[in-house]
Amino acid sequence: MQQHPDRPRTYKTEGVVLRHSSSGEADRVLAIYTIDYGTIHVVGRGLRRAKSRLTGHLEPLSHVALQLMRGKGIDIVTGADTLHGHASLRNSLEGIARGLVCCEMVEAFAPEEHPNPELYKLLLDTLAQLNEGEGDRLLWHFAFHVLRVTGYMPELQQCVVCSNAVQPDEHLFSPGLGGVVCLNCAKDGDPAGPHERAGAPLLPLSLNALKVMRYFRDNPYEAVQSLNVDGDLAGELQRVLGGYIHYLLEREVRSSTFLAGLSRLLPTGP
Amino acid sequence: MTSNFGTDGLPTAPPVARLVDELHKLPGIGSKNAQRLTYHLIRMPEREARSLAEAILAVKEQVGFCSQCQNITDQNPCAICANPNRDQGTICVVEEPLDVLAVERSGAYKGLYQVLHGAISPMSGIGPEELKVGDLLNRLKADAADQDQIREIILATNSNLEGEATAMYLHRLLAPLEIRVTRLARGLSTGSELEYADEVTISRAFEGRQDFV
Repeated sequence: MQQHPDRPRTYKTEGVVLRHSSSGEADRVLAIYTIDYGTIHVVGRGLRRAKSRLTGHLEPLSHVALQLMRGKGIDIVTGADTLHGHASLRNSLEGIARGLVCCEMVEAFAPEEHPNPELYKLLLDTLAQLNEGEGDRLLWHFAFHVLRVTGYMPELQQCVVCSNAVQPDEHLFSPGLGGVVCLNCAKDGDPAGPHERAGAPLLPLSLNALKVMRYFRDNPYEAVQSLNVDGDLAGELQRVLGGYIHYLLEREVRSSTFLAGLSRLLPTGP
Repeated sequence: MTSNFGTDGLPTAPPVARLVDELHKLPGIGSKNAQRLTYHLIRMPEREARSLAEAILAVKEQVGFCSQCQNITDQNPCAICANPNRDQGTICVVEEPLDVLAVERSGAYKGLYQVLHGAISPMSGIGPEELKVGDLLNRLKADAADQDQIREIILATNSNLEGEATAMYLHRLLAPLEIRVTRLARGLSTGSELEYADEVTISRAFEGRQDFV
């Protein structure tokens, strides 16, 4: 692992614990999204022991103040204090799954060791709102804005093939080209057009879905809350947004699949 | 003619390189450790080396899952399930076979077990279908139809995010069966200091406080 000459021998920062995995006899390796350094991987010595003083502070979804020490390969957590434990989020299976969707998206979209204060604030705000009881719509809003602050916002104003302004009509969405394709370009006859070569099938995009996507992009969550998004439209947004994210990551967001599968696996809701 | 070069390009006899490769596959064993262990094994008396090899084979040949509790055992049902002196009315659900040993070491529990072989971890793609949850459900349904002995399910999954998620899932899954479902107490651990405890631990400790006796 690379050394980080830009960090002092011991340093402090704050971050959100994204995930943990077991390592060695009783250690844990943590992925933490920090305000100063972006995603970092650090080791917590003895975290799996019942008597560890730090382990309760370093669970995924927790917002923590951290003290760290530069290690030979990987940095070591020497101190941690919970700033916000998001306790009510942890009280339901859906809450945990939603929180983990946010963590997984941030880990997937944020390049390692590259701070992004806007993304950091978005993650903190979203976890706090989920903790207040917000649901799946907030996750869509979060996903749109993760795309925005990491530079992957899809083009929704002009056709990504011909660059003409998109007219109010039914259109298609190309995950490969990252935006709307107008019907004119889509029916150009040649099945091996540029959007086909980009490696992802075109998805139908209704006018309503396009409008909702623009609204999500341009407005804070408070405004989006009052929007009426019914079953069909919700399904379409899920397909388009999910398809685009799947194309970008070349895999599914696993926590999101888990969340979607919960209703199928369990007899009753929360 | 076989090459006398190992996978790392260094001149290593092929049997030695093979053993290094095999040991390297074990968890927590890096390439240097694998080499060190290999050369230790080479210097070991043949009797000891043979005994080690036989022990590995014996584990693979004789050990399997208990058909009732899914714990690792060399007899079916396992010694705990087959013991008539254990309380047949409670099942303690744990994540791993090592957790059974930890509970047994405490001597605090005299009932039966169910081993899930993992915990729900959405980010790693481990859902309930990857665990031995179906075995637990089948066991409870079979009991309800037959002897109807089981009175209580104790959820003893770890007190971390994955363990909590697993416990919540099981709690909801078992609700229709109308069996008492309990969760191990969560809060301050023995020897810990309040000053260093996190907010979730402290609030759980308050929720679970008991009359002082």
